[in-house]
Amino acid sequence: MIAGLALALALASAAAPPVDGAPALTATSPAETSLAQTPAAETPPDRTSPVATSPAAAADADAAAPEPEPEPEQTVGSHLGWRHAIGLGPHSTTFFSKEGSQYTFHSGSVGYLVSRGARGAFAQLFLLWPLQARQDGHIYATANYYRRRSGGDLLFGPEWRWTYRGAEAEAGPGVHGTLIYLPGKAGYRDFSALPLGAGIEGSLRWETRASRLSRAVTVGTYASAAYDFYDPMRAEDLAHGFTFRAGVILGLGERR
Amino acid sequence: MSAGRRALRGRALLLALAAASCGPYANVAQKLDVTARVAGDTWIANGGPDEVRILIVGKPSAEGTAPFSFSSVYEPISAGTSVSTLQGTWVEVGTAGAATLDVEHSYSYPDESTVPILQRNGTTRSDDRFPIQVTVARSAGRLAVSGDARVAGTYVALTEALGHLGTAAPSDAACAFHVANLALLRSQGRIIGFGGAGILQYQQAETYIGTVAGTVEISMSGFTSNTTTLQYAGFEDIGGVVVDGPMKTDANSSGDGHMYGRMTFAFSPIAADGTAGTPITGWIDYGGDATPLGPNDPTNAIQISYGNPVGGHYIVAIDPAGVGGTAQVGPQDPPSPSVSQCLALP
Repeated sequence: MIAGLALALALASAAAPPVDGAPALTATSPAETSLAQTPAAETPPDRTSPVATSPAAAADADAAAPEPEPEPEQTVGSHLGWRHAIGLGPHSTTFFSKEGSQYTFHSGSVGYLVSRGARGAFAQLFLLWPLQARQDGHIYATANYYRRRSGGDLLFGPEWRWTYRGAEAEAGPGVHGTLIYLPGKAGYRDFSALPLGAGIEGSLRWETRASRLSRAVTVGTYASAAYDFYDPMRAEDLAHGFTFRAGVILGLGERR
Repeated sequence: MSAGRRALRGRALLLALAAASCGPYANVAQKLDVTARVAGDTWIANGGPDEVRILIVGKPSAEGTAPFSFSSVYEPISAGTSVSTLQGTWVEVGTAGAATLDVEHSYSYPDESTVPILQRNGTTRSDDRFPIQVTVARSAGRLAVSGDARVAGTYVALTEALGHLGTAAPSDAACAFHVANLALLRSQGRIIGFGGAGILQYQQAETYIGTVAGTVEISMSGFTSNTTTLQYAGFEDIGGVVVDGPMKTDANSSGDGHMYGRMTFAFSPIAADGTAGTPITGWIDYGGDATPLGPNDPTNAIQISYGNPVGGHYIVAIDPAGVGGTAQVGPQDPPSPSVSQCLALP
């Protein structure tokens, strides 16, 4: 659903007229520009057609021929350079303690996603707002028990970019950590956890016609998954856990 | 805010996060104090070498159920080392003495004196329920519990046992300390995180109730150099023993520091025939202040090293001043006399 929302945003944005007089998007990679123009420019005439045996007939035929279909606009560039984005979406982490309990926290999250280069590195830092906690089948609204609800999620590592159906795709593995910090209301115990592990991330970005700061404005979607296996604060109690997050992004893409 | 203060706050937050998170994961939405008041009888037994057992059973309802609280307190040294406590419902049907203890909460305040300070769990509580089957036999002033080694023993009524306490000799003052300390250890054995890094939870003060009456408030200020205050108010965790006043500990993040504060105690013995005995009152000073019996000597305060009381003396005095016995009790000294000797426990 989130990916669909992101796609709808992208399509709506692409259909909108250019903002601030920005030119329509075209391929900026010389190689892609060349590839896009080659078929129309270099297609030889069909010499076997009887209509084409006479120069005059050929001219008539050319005049009667429909206008060629315009080439689809290229929305993806060289995959080089920085990508910055703000992300928004749900975050879920679940982990098992060696004492036999399962803890799950569902949070809202807002974060900053940055990457650099077609073969480069990425980092994603999210702030969490834990909304619901679960333990061993019991469900708790965190607002009822904790005076402050906060947390963070960090994933960083190498990344690769490529073109996927007109979008710029990015993926990579990384080191992962989630912090949940819930100081209790009066009469309730604090809760905190810092599960660390390894994860993977992926994102899709579509360039819109809009520009900001001389860069293309992009919309898209992101997702990540992680396997957590070490909590430095509770090394004796964490068995393992999993973290998932997904959402939509709004950011700045390639320089124009 | 200056960069220095930001850095200090950052370190403090990291320390708080790190320290508050040590030990096993907390339960989600875990209440700190779940103690149910027990209005009934307090029984005490010699549990073996260095161990005292305390059993508080409320008045039974028409269905034969009553709240209960049980503690096993270890005092191989005068400061005490560990406490385990059970709370729940005592169900006794019929006259054969068969009883079921439906345990609802079990506490553990283990001896972690050799564990690195940031790795100590301190007091923890499990809310997993389980039953304990016992057989009880009552006789004059005694309650014999058998059938489960965890709670078995020949108990005597604490208020009657208090009648064995003297008031004039130094050993009487030492006994007064050890009896009052049972109540203090029991309270600390229910304060979640006490004795571990989780005590940083109490930057926001919390109040725990006494099993019989009164309250104790625990609060903490500071991070890298902190003060922990236990403020007892009419605190009666075992029937007939009431403590009041502050117990304070100043320590750094390594667990080094000292204690101070003066607490009062009041014992209310009751004879077997129900006659109230003469109350015994007095005070315990943790900071080396013997006024008016002697000088204020901070160097005699209880010294804390690595989170453990290792030096100085508890200064104890029984009222009235100049008549009642006085004593200086070293925290690492074996109790002399022991609680069992003080109260003439069988």
